[in-house]
Amino acid sequence: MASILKVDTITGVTTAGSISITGEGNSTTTNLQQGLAKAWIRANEASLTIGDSLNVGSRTDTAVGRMNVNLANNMANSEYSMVGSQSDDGRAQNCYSPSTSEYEAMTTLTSNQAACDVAHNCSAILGDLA
Amino acid sequence: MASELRVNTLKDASGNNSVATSVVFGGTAKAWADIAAGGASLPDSHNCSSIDDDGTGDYGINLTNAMSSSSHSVIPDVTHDHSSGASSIRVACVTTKQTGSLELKFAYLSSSAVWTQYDIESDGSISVFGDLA
Repeated sequence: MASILKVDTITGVTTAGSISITGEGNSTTTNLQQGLAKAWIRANEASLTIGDSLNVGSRTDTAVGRMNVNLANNMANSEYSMVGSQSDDGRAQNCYSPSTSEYEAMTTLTSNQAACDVAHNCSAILGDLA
Repeated sequence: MASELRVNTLKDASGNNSVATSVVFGGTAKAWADIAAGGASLPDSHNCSSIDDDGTGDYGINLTNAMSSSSHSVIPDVTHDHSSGASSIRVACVTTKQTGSLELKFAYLSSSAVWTQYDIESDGSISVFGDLA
């Protein structure tokens, strides 16, 4: 029977921030909160705009190829997983300098290893919210 | 009291923003980790039991609960300040995926784009998406 749950907030019973869900193979469970991306962003460094994002309060252009992603809700620590990519040929992207409230997303030309702006600087973080 | 909820679809309280629970579960990362400098440890992680140092820039991560197949997605990255001068571009790649583990290599690109493996100076990251066993 199909079922629909209408709710605005889901909270664990034993621990508010911990809900187990059954894995696809029906044999193990995984933690829902731990598996959720806590923030993500797609930003245009040329126009200094955010295309779309989650849990990002703002972005700050600190220099060519350097963008601070300022979080709306802080992380619990700076030991979270950061992954990123960018959209232009011949360029590389790295995330750097994570703190509980922000991290830096940088882009570089691979030909001469100089900082450069890109059309789409994308990143996501996974870890523990404060 | 522990409780179990079986439901196919989630909506907000207004009945909008419908999403199938299969989408929520499928889109949930099944593992992630922050990798310490040198690949020595995992300061924080989810569903990762340990890390092996297999050589310079060569690390293996073991999962606590295995994936159902080796066709899952692993996204690696490395934390680095690219403005630190020549040979500052860092690259992370996945060389092997198994249901219970994955192998990573980290390198920097020289000014002539030569790939040179190195032990990460600050930290690295992985995120794993796919089906649990």
